[in-house]
Parts: sequence; structure tokens; C-alpha cells
Amino acid sequence: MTDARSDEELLQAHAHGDAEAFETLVRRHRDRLWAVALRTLGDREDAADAVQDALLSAYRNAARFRGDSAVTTWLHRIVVNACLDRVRRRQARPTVPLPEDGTRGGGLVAAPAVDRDTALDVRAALSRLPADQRAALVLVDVQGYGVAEAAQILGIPEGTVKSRCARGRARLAVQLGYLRGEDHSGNRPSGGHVPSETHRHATREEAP
Amino acid sequence: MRGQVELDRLADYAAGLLDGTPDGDQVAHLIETDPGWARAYSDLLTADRLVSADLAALGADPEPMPADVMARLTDRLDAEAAADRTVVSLAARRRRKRWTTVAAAAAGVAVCGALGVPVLRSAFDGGSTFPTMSRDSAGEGQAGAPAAPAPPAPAESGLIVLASGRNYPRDTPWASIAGEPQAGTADELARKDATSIPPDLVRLYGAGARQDCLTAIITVYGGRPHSVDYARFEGAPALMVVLVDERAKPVRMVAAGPGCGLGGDPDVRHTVPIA
Repeated sequence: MTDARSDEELLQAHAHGDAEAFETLVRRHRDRLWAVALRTLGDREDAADAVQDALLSAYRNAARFRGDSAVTTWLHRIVVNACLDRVRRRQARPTVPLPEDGTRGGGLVAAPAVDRDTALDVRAALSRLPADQRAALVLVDVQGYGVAEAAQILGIPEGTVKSRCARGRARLAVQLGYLRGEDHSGNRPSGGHVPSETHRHATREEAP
Repeated sequence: MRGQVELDRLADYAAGLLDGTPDGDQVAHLIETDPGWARAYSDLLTADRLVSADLAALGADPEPMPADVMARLTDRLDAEAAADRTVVSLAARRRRKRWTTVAAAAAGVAVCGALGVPVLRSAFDGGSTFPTMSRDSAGEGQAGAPAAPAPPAPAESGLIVLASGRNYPRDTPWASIAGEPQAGTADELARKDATSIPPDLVRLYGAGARQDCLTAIITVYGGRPHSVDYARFEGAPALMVVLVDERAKPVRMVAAGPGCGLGGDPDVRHTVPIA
């Protein structure tokens, strides 16, 4: 039977000792939390661990929820933070830079459409984005959260969310072949140049 | 600046994030005057729409939490719920406690704290996946109370859960442990709490995993699980399970390893009948 209590009521009930309230809350939101974790981390086991860590943290800290955001926003924030923590911990592996032909010597030109398994390509390309951009894109462009809610979840200004999404999409465009650099066939486009990721990070901050 | 298209800057510009700023004016000027920037800008607008469509399509694919992930999560939350409960203080009672007292609890009487360790009564028979702890000791002093018929199912019904963390040597007098006063051990056990569960046994602290384990054990040995103790056997982490017969009389002790219940295997490290 469906529990008619609101998320806030369930969390409060859990904090007051209702043994089943938290599990009800988890069951209500598990799929969306899982999708965010899986798409942010790109790895099933990592995502399972992150969700588990996050929900244990939420379980333990329910009494500290102050209600200044929706419970679901709070849960998402904890899950996203758990994901980003995992990314940072494993970042002995540096972010994969953009492909050479997308970063050096050529202008940005539209690439011809290619036949491929787009979903797989998109997932793979997402996994190569910087984690901050990936998290913003997953929330806004994949999961469909509004920029304002994503900003609450990520704890950053809305402008920064927009910037991370715009930059993330631009990188994905290169990785997915919608944009490319010099085509190496001798038909060099007009002299534009996409600097390396490191250079871009060193030279331009995200929009606030 | 001519000739160098900066992708992040161009992306911010295309998203309108630089509107009204000197940097925005500068990018606009580059697009107007530099063919490379102009082409890049035009292509980026097209590519941005394609990427947005790809991402939206990805989001339209349902991504439900897999059942095994949910089961793991539930088990972990179960364990958290169990470990979270207040430890019953039995310092004042430890001289009186007997496993036979615990037997009364298994027979449906609210009893806990037999050994001066955290004693939790499974709520599995109530249908909850979150165990609850009985804080009362209403059954205190009821050793010898007539045993009620064993509940038919499930394996955890009425189960007494202990978390002593103690080490049981092979030559432990099992009959004594199961049925006699715990003289000489209560002080040690009273210092323990649920956090003393050996890390290798944390999985088994989840009610689901524990029930799988108990089911695997009674499939082999019969009887009914009466109590479990998260402890050690010969120094190795082990779930010490006491099985009782239909009259709630202890009949067997099983030391199960951390893998108990996985694939239906009881992972028995040691077992002895209790005369």
C-alpha cells in the first residue's frame, strides 16, 4: 500500500524513530537517485557504493535536515556529493583530454552524421567530461531538473550551473563528432584553434 | 586574439552567459571579424542542439535501480537500524541471565539482555525489514517458563540477536553456554556493544542476509534458530547460531562464517550437538 505521507513527513517520522519511514522514502526516490549516480559515475559498482554511502549518511543525519530545500533535493545533493567524492578519490586517473583532432590546429566544423549507437557514445563521452560538468549535465540535460534546483543540489550559483552545462555540451560535441578540428584531409578550415583542456582551464574561469 | 577559438569562452557566449559584459563584447567582435570564430560559433550552435537532443534521449531511457542494488542497500540500512539501537544495559542483571531466559523470549515473551550484550529482537515476523530492539526485560526471571510451540515460520521469527564480539574457542562448553548461567563472562560481555561486530560480519547484520544465512543453516540441520551472536570462533569472525527444537530446547550450535547464506551455503565453520 502506498504511504500517503509527504517526503518531509517521512523524514521527520524516521528522525523520531519510525523504523519503516526511511525505507519508504528510499523506495519512493530510488530510481531517480540511482540514475543520477549511475550517469554521473558511469560505473555500476561505484554508483551502488555511492548511493549506499549517501543514503546511509542521509539516514544518520535526518534529524539535521532543516527543511530549507525539498527532501528530494537534499537527497540528490547527498548522492551527487557522494559521487563527486568518489570521482575525486579516484582522480589519480586524470581526466581524459579532448581528442587531439578536436583540440589542435583546426577550426570547429560540423562533422557529418555517423551511424552509431548514440546512447553508448553519449555515455562514454559523458564519462570523459570533468566531473563537475558531468554532474551538472546529468542533472539538467539528462534528468531534466531545472537550473535552479540543480544549483541547489550542487550548492553553486545558477550561472555556474549554466556555464558547466554549456561547456560540457561543447566538449561532448567534440567527443561525439558533431564538432571536430582539422579534418586531416588537407581541407583545413579557417585557422581556428581549440586550445587544450589544461590551457582552457588555466585561462578561463566558469561564468559565475 | 585572431585564430584561437576558445571553446569554453565560446560556449559561455553561445549560452548568453557573457551578455552585457566586456568579454561578451569581445567575443562578439571576434565572431564578426574572424572567420574561424564565426564558423566555430555557427557550428557550435548546431552541435549544441544535437548534443542536447542526445542527452535528453539518454534521460528518456528508464534507469531503474537494479534489484540486487536495492537489496544491498536495504540490508545495509537494516544493519544500520539494528546497530543504531540503544544497547541494553545489563550490568545489574548479568548474574541472573541465562540462555534459558532467552528461550522464553523466543517463545514469545519479551525478553532481552540475557548476556549483558546488545540484544535485539528481530522484527522480521512483523514484516518489517528494519529490526527493532526490545528494550524491556519483562521476561527477566522467567527461566523455566513453559515453552510455547515454535512459530511456524519464517526463520527469524522471535530470534534473539546478540553482538558480543567474544571469541569462542573450540572447546567451549556449549551446553553450558546455551543453558547455564554466564558466570564469569558477563563483565566482559557487558563492555561490548553493537559496534563490536567483526567487520566481516557486517553484511550478516542486515536482516535479509541474516535470514538467508539462517535458512541455509536450518535447511541442513533442521530445528529453529533461537539466537545468534555476532562473535568469533577460534579467532575468526563467526555468527554463532543456537538451534532449538520444537520445545525451545537448545539442540545444536553452529558457527557460520561470513559467507553464510550466499548461494544457499551455510558456510559452517564448526557445529556441535548440544546434549
